[in-house]
Amino acid sequence: MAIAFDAVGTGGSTAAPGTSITYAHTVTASPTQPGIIVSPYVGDNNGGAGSVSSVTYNGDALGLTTSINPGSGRLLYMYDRTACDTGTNNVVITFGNSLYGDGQSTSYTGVDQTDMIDNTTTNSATSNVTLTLTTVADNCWLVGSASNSAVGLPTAGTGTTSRGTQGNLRIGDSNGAKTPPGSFSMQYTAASGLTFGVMASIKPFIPTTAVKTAEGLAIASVKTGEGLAKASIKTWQRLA
Amino acid sequence: MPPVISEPTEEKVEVKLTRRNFVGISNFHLFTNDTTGETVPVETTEQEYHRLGEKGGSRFNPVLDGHTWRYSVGGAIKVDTPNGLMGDKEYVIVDDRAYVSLKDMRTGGKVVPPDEIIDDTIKL
Repeated sequence: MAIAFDAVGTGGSTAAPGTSITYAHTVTASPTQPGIIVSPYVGDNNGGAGSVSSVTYNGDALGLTTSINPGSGRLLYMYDRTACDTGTNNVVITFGNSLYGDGQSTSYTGVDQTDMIDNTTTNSATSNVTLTLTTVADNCWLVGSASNSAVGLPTAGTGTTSRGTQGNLRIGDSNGAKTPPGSFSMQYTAASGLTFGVMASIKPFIPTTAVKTAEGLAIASVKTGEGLAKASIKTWQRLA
Repeated sequence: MPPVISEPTEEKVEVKLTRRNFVGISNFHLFTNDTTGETVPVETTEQEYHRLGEKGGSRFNPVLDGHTWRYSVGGAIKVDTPNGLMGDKEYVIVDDRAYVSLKDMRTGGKVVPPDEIIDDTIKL
């Protein structure tokens, strides 16, 4: 099954500094094999005293994918949860202190249901930042977010399809599969200041074949992935 | 904590602020008026806020006629304004931190040591 963009959700505490923010994100129930990426941004000038302590979706914890600290107390994170719940549920981003923060999330269908994260990277640069990584699995998508110290919100550059903005944060993806595995990039641009970002490659769900036996005969159920049949057949009494 | 990366020097500007007084910690739902686009905060209890994040908590998502719920903030700093929130270019000092609301500035909201605000002015 090919990966597809599903939905975006946003929330932030720009109206009031707080210790957590909660917003809704709807993950489509069909097609299946969903996964959610949440990217919190923290704006804090107390030497990194403000940070993200946890992220949940529908009460389930997300794992930290990667993060970057570009200085001046700004922090950008990426969290992920494979095989997340479907439907309209709430994202909760909890901070280590009262602070200003933003959060954005994107969900995808057709992702690996054991661990959708294939590889990760971070980078920062003056004005334009290029995030580059080497994918391991075939047909991965790139998902990334970025912010900027001068203009706040960077623009989606080469290789980046913007999915949404919240405060000083923009989240996007490659809007397509990367094949064959290799080095791929996303770019975020700004007129000035330091642009910094986090990025991950997410790998597709690969269907497996279930073979059962009935009265000594193997019965195989073969599903297709990317238009190709993939079968794994075990033997029973030396007969396939 | 992620490793710190060096940042290019940026020219600073002075911003005149208005000081607000800290009232307490509270929780707010933030709505957008469907007609005017205005942000409307509605204070809520800690219990009602926290149940939003529990399993199935979205069934408690807040609703307000003529408005769309955007998000909610927990453990929020409440000040002595009519709606409890700081306006643009306002600040409040809580313990050893100054919270500066800069809604239209490039930096967004800032949390700084109180001594960075001199005569209600901050350099950003």
